[in-house]
Amino acid sequence: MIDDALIVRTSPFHDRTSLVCLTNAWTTISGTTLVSSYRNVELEYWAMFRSAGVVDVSYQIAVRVVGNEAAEALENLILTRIGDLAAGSFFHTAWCTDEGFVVGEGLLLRQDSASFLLLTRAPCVSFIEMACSGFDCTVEIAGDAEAGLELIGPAAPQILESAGFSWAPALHPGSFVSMTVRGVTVHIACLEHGGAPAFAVRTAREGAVLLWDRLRRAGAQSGLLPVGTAAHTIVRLEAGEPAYGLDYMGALVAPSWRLMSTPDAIGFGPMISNGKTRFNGSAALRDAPRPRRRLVSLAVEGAGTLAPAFITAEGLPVGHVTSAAWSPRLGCGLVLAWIETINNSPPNGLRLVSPVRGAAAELTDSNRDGRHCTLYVPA
Amino acid sequence: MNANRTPSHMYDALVIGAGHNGLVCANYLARAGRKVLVLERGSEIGGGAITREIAPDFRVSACAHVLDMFEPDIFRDLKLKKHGLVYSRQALPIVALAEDGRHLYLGDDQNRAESSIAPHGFLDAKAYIEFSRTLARISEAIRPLAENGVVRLVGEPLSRGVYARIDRGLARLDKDERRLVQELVPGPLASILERYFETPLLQAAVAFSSTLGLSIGPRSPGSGLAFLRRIALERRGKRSLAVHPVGGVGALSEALGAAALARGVEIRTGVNVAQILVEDGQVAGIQLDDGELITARSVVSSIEPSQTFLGLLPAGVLDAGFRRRVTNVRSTAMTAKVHLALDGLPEFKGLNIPDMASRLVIAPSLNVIEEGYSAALEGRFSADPVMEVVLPSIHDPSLAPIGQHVMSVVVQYAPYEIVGGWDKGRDGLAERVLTTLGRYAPGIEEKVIAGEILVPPDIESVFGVPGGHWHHIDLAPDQLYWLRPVPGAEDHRTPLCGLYLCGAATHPGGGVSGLPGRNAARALIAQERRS
Repeated sequence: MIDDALIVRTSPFHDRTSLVCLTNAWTTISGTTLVSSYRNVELEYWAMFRSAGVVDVSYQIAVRVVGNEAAEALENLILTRIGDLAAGSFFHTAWCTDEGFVVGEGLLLRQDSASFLLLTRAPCVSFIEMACSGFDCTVEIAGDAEAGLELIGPAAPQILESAGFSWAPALHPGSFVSMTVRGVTVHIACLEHGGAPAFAVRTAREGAVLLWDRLRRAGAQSGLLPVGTAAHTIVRLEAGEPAYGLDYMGALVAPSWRLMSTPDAIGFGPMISNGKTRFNGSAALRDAPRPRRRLVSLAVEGAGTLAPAFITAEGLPVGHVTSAAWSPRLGCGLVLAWIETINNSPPNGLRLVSPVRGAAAELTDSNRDGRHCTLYVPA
Repeated sequence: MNANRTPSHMYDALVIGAGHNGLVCANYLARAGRKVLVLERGSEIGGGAITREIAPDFRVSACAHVLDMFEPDIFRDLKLKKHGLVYSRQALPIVALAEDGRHLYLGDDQNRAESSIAPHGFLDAKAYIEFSRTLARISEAIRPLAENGVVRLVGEPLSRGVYARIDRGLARLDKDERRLVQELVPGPLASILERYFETPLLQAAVAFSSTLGLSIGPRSPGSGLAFLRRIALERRGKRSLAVHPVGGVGALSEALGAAALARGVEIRTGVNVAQILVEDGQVAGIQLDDGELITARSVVSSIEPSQTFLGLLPAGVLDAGFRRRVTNVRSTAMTAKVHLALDGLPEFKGLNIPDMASRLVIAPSLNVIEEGYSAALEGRFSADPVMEVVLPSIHDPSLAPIGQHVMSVVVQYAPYEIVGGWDKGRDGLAERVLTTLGRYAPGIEEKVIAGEILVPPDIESVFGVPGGHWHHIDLAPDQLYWLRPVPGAEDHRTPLCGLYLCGAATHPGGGVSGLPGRNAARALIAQERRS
């Protein structure tokens, strides 16, 4: 008998992605096995800026919150004011434990006045259920949004139109639409990815292959390429977006308080709407001291092994790298790293030290806002 | 008038529930100059601490039938004697009944205790005396922890001196006494008692009281901790605090009510609180179910915490994790009451009338107690129920007509739900109780004029306690001290500014001690001073 936990959980697109994964390079995100690179990471990366790339993001969980008081329930939970969210639009938000530590983050889509869809990597349905208890609403995994793709690149609008999703190109960033075209019901949200048009497309598991085939056919003339998680990570790091479970641990799964993080520490502070005083954990955050460590995005000039690496200041370890990649477009390495801060700013004399290569990087410039410090790796 | 009260507020504090803890709290708040209103759903004050008529002129304490841990300082502070509280009997001993009439006397009189145990075992008699001395010293050492509010271990500086006092108390204990405390905290009580004593009746008599009203057996982990809690609360050193008030336990509530009224507290009965009002993250008052709004700076709730947090507060006021903790609180009632009106005093074999006025324990051995517990877990009641019996009318003639008596029996291990339902099972339990009593007091059945049985669902409906649990929630290691009722509300304050808890679900738990009420009032006053 095989333990269910040991069975590989494949994406709904696996039947198709496995056919074109020439590298046989796979990775696992949130328990779902996905292609790391189909053919060549750099090729896939440039496709997202020159034509279009389609990325399998089926590791996201879709949670539906529906009911007369769904808005009030979510208002009570998330950092961002729900009143700012009109029907047909979405925003990026996060939610915390009572102690003010981030549980997870994701996209919250408002379908109508009483129906919301939350897309997240964080396995926290029971937490959301508990947060919504007492309100007139239900919380459930959305079975009609199990298969997720991101379509990124200048050709993305045209590909969607060719695939029959004619309303999609008219969407503006932050809005979404649900439509059924030739038997496939999809939710399409217009994202922004480093200035390139990007769309999140979700459908039910049974419609996944049909959706994939339709998009591939529609994009064949435009140079649409399947993009693996490796190239997608570069785009994420260029945007300075931390990933749940990789760059930070959700408070529900972190084994120690030391590994839990407040919104400010991760960089989610701006998500808290101005004047919003009540959300889960708000009381604890009001009394919380400034975080002693922060997740910062660093640009590392020159070639070099970026991860695994740790960061020192004046010879003492002050942080470590959680994600790293070389950005072909920016011509530098990009890392996300936790750094012990002094008065909310990175300490002076930062050096990035790679134990693999024995190389060290020195801080040459910093905008001192805790993000996008520039490091230099000597040749 | 208190200068802190906002002019728009009608009261400084509202107390929900006029049980003894609510009344104690109201008294202390009024004593500190607060304007207080107590709101009681029932038609009379007292909650579970009432004396009720079971037949014309036969009155009996409804839930708790003795005051075994009522704090003497509260009696003095609130001048309860002046308000009519008089004890008909003090330092009530426990008499463990033996079918052969060789009963054990376990009271403050050590010589009598020794001589009653000696026929069962000379070594046990000596061991019991030594054990009693040890318990008295341990009781003194740990009492500060039981009688004071707990200090938050998380989120606030540990500046109060309770733990320092316990440290000093424990330092006064010798090596063996400290080892006993160490063993009792995590361990099952039974295994420790079996090491000390050989006489099954003695083992059971010592263990029984610590399981009263609880949902654990003497072999359960946590029974030792429950025992420590009990000895800390029901003793002042060598002296037992168990007393019987003239007029039954309800006399305490009446005295507390009279004291409260004398201090200017307003008490409204027959009113049902529908909602606690919250404005800007702060308690603003309450709304009654008839729509009436009553504003106040603070609300102190003596009712069960899930009713308070999940039933009376608007959704969304509390954080999700806290709500989850409240939802997960365990409450498993396992105690029933039997009240009998008797035409004359029953004749217990080998027991004289003064001793009959003691707390009579029927628990032949640890195994019998444990079997009762096991049966309850399976939804049955034991064939050999264990119980505590009192005959208060012996020393309090006000409770029954001359020449007649009332008997109150706490029957341990009667589950909330039984196989086949209580409608069918109620008579069966009454019959087993009478049969068991008959083994010790032959012919008692013929003396019964009237009676009633209150199983947990009855206690729930009569006294409004969800689940019929005397302590509101289980007294288990994970729901005691810093964890009672849940982390975040362990020192009577709650995550909602201005809302406090003072019921049996708060430290140090149920039993008629008055300590949750007093400590909640202290916490409220201290918090107001801080802010």
